[in-house]
Amino acid sequence: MRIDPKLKHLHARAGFGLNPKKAVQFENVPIAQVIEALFLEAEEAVQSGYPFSIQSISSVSRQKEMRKENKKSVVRLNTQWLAHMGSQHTSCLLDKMSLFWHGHFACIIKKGKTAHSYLNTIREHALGNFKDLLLAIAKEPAMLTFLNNQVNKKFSPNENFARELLELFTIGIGNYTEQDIKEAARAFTGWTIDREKQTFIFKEKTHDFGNKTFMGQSGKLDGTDIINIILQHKATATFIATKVYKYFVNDKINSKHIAELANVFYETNYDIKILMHTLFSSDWFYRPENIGNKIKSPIELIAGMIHSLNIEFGESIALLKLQKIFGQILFKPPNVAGWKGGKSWIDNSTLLLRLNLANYLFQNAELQYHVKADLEDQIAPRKLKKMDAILNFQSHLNLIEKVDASQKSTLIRDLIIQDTSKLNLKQIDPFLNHQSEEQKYISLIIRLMTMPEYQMC
Amino acid sequence: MKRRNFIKNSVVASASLMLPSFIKAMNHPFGATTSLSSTNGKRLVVIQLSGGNDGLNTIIPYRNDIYYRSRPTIGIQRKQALRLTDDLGFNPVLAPLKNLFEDGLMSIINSVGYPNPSRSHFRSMDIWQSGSGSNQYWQSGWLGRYLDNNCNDCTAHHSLEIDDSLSLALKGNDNNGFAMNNPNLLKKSVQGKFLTSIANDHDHDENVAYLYKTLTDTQSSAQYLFEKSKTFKSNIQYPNHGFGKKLKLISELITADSDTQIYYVSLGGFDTHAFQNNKQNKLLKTYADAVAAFVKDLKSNQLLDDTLIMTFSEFGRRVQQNGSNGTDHGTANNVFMMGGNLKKPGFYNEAPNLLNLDNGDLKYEVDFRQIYATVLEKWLGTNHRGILGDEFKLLGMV
Repeated sequence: MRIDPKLKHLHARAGFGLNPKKAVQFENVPIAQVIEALFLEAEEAVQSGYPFSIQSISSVSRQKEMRKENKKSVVRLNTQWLAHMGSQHTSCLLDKMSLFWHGHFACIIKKGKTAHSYLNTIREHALGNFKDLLLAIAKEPAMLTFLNNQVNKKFSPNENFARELLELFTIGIGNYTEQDIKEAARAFTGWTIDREKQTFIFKEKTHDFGNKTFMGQSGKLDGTDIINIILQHKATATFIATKVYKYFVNDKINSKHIAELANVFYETNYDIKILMHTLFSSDWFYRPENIGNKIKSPIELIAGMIHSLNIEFGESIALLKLQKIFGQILFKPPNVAGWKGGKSWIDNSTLLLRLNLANYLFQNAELQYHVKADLEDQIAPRKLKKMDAILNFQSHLNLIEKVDASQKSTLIRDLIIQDTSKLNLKQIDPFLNHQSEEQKYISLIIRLMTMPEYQMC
Repeated sequence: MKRRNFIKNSVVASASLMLPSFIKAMNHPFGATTSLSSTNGKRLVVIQLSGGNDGLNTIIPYRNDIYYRSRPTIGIQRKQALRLTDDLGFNPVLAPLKNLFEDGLMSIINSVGYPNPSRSHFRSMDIWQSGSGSNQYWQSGWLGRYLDNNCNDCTAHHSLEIDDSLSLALKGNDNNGFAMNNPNLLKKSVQGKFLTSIANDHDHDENVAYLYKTLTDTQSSAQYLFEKSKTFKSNIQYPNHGFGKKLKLISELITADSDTQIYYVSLGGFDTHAFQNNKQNKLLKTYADAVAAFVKDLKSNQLLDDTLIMTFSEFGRRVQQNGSNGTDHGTANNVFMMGGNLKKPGFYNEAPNLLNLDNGDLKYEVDFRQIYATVLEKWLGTNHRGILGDEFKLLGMV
């Protein structure tokens, strides 16, 4: 048995890595068929509905307690989602796409109900049509609140949402004027929320029904018209294709490949599924320069380790603590520009913790690490202690059972490390536990996960 | 990037002790630098008060009736305020700093903020740490960009945050500061045999090379900082709490002539929405006790003249107290500068105007980026435009 590099690369980018079960399931299956299977799985996942439980929070009278309840509810959703990403029984493609769109439509969310709604919307449209996604996001209470559109009114327009819609969500700087922002803001007046129900409402009273001129087109434009006009510009397709390319292929852009993606995206009226299908099916996606060259985001690292070793945590809050120490918290991007990604994940502190993660979990070691005080908390930073994680090596051990002794280590290496071309197993050998065969391969897995190369996908 | 297989060849015995210096020697072909040779010898210490410190209960406008009317139960009483000028005084828990103020070692800049202020902790801290305007979203920190512009051959610990994690302020686009809470633990955590072993013998591309470089830099800096932290033991009494220990560590590193130029440290918990006075006073006392010891320590070693200490918070709080004996998020606030080389000690500008408010909040008079620009130009000796993205009018405090 050998690990098909294409199969591994596809799973690293379209999901959270290749686990042993999938390596067996897709052994000798042509990559085109694997791609079909991933998309089919995602489609079924969308159709089977919403996987996360929405616990209605008990309405408490005091504002402070309400905030606390909301915080708990967001944390619950956060850890459920991360566990879902790591699960071996979900659509990894759908979760990966949802994570991408969460970073794109970056939004800090403090209410459980609106976080649920936002995530639901993203999942529903993650592989659908970009216009539907954009329109739905523009009506999400979480986004309306975060970018102050609930206070965008006819006689006191607030430009925050309109500005970010153009600058970050669709077409990018240089393709519109300050006046366009002002006109777009007017078009989105009255797009607000029902405070009690926390749902989108259109308030005619505060909407500006007047004439507007946006990117050269005039009329009594409203928000939907603005989105339609933005999408008429091919620069929008290029902007999104570039972001997709950087996220799924390479931090360094290749204009030719991006043009290819942008053309498909524009010609199919912004069909995300076709865009992604084109990307994963292209030859260049599998070229050596695109393999193992991206630094995993913290979420990708944590979900990937869970996915590989079927990890269960004693307490789900451990999943939040891991996000905190590595610097990426779901529903809490640094600002509307989202996570910067790439090398910015790495500093001396996060690197050491990343390298030691598998070992910490495996040994259930006490982690000497203080989480920085939350700006809103009045409590001192708490020590992050034991994670109580259970790691499951069985599927790896099953996998190597079928191959010759001489191939076992190589097979494990090829499964765990993306680009193995510069990784020397002999270097690791002295650090393995040779007490038993089983111990040897378990320690090999842990050591491989300690290699800087494991940080790459 | 090419890495030679030098460790295996050259270090046989006492590998763990020798190793980092060798790595360092390789990364810095002319050998380890011993002091701030790549800079001008000036050091900057940034203290961040997280959560939004209430500036009006820190520096008390003790003759101002509006202050007392707005804060009937939480205002610091006129007779309790430690008078500094005819209209402003310290919260009494800041007593340990009064000598510094009187000796000209402290400059207080009032009403510091920025246009269209954000009252969100995260956003406002993001703005302060990145040095952006409130309508800009930057993904690097102002000190990180200082490293990008001035420090491409500096050691990894040129800018050091005394913490387990690194703040945005110290993250550049190409260069980062260094985070360390405890030199002993850091040294232990990088000196495992396996990490030591994999750090050598590599030839990688781009991102992977960056990881390996960060790893060897970390090992090298961990060893360096460990040694420097043992070189000098302060004989000044510091308060026995976490923040005091952090400042003591900074002082010992400075006194040992370590080649760190910028230090960054935070004290959290200032988000005092309810029953503010006990909480804030406790925190301000923690701050004042530690900073007083720190300044005294540096001064006794003749190091205060080359040190500038800046204290800020992401925003101040509303003038009017709220219904639970606390204060809600506000806007402009005071910034403290300390050091032996201040050009305008005392109050840099007038007390905040409580008559002219913006929706119940103080209006800013000094943009915080003017302070950054001044620190960059006049203290660190570099051009601020490339780092702050715009031209700001310099102040005369240093």
